[in-house]
Amino acid sequence: MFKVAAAILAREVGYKLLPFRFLRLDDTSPKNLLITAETGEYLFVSELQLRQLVGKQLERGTPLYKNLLARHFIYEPQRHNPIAEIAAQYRSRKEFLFGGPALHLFVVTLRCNHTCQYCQVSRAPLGGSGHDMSPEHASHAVNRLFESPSPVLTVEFQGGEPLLAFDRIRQIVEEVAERNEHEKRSIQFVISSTLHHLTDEILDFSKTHGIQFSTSLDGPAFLHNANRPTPGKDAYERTLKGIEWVRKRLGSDAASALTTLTAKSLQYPYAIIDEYVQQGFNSIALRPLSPYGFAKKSSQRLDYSMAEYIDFYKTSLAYLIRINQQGTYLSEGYTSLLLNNVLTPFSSGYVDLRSPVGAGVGTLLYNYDGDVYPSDEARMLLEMGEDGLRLGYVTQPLQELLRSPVIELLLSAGVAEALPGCSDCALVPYCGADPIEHFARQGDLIGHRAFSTFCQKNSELLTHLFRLLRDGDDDTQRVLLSWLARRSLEDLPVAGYKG
Amino acid sequence: MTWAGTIVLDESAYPLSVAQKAAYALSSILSILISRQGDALYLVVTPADLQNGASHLSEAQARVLITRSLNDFALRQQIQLETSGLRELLAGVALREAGV
Repeated sequence: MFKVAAAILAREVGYKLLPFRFLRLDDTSPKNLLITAETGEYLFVSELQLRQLVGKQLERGTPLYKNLLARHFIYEPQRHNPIAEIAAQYRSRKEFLFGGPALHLFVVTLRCNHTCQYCQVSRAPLGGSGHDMSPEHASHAVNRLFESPSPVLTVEFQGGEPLLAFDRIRQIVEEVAERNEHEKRSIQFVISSTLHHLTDEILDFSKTHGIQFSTSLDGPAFLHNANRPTPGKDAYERTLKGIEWVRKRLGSDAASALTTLTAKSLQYPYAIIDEYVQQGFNSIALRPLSPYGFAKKSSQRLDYSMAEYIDFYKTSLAYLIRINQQGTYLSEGYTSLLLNNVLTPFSSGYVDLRSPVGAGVGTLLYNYDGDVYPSDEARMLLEMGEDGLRLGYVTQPLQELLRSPVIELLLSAGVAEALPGCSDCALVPYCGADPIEHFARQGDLIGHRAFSTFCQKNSELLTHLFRLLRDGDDDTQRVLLSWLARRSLEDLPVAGYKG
Repeated sequence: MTWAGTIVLDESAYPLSVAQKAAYALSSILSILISRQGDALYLVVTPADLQNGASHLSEAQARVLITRSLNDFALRQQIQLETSGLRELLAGVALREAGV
């Protein structure tokens, strides 16, 4: 009786659709369609349910109906206006747009002691002159940093090997710290380094200013040393010594590591992960090679197809989930970012996965020679002979830099929701536009999604993640939740009553 | 072995924009040339590129894929028509102060 009344009421009151997108997961599950709302809420439905939803044949009061209503796929016009609450959620997801550039990259030198074949930024010889940032340019860059209204700022030092220009790092950190006594921003300092040039003096200074270190560890010695040649053939040993030193002096969380994967690396997923476990890391980032700098020139030898990378990534992820279930906490960085985008109402803030584009809008790079770029990748293109993405010079005020035609160009190609191939994609709430990568790979800022490795990577990794969320057993789901919460499994609360 | 096939669409059921989106989405595996004659759209279909594995796709498989893609984009257009203006309204309300 109640069901009949509800059905009649539904027809009388009716529901309307809110904007949503759908994607076929192309598998045998009865719920093989992913539907996503504008704010990133999602559901898995069957073909029939999708047709019923669009055809207004859903019965009011059913679990599916309630779910669709709660997750903003439908609304009842005579009962409530959902625009304000959806707009609030949408705003949370796009919060990064409101603060101005928050990530400021300082390339203090191009000099480096490594001769990595895949180097993304090119480098200058160790004793090379004319490749260090001047004290004047550094001071101007600090002024630009504080012209950004963002209450939270990250200052990241890059190279070359930035520790070879530690005097410049010291100058910048001291100027920022002094200005911040009045500015009262939340500022994080990070040095991206091989850690080969650490000294007690550098570590003392880092301790005083809470500086974190980000390094590269490509796996066990045979892989790391093959990828990162040095004259002494001891890159691995020196980096490990540096990690140990940083941890001892600054704490165990003060050093994080990234992995760059060459074709050789793809043969060793387990060895790479085991190395991270052995070295006591709690996060690993399995990054594919970038299409920039020397990497592109050496790509015949070092590179691999995106399909090969995705196979490697899925194998690695399965292994990581398994060892986490056995009690080791080691999260994968990219999956953690994607989980944040899928399962929380907030953006991860990761620049490549932003729409509108993160480059320029969220990031600025001050090059050693005083030029300013919208991102690290734009600078990498410069080293390949493409200087069209320069915003201007470090002496120009921030507002002037942000009014550069380059920013306008990036924004015109940088809103994923409006791009061909993306505008109808159900994954767009969690993805980004990345016009600079498309320019590097396809010679066009918009690019063609059917041929885009950026699209292939994110589509396949996101659908893999959605399948894990839909089909994974409790243990798998708990591992993913622990990565999202950044807590080990044993510290993760168990849902429900435990009395 | 390569092949070429033609699919004829009633434009009142499958508008040009739907056919164009299907052609775009499938372009890594199929090359689809669209022309209009009267109220009909003609889709001339060939495998896109042997390197991309299109040689493994038979004409019958391609037809199934295109039909599914056309129907999906037609459904998306129906959703878009019904929710027309809401996306812009939401973004406008949410991002009013961001200046984007």
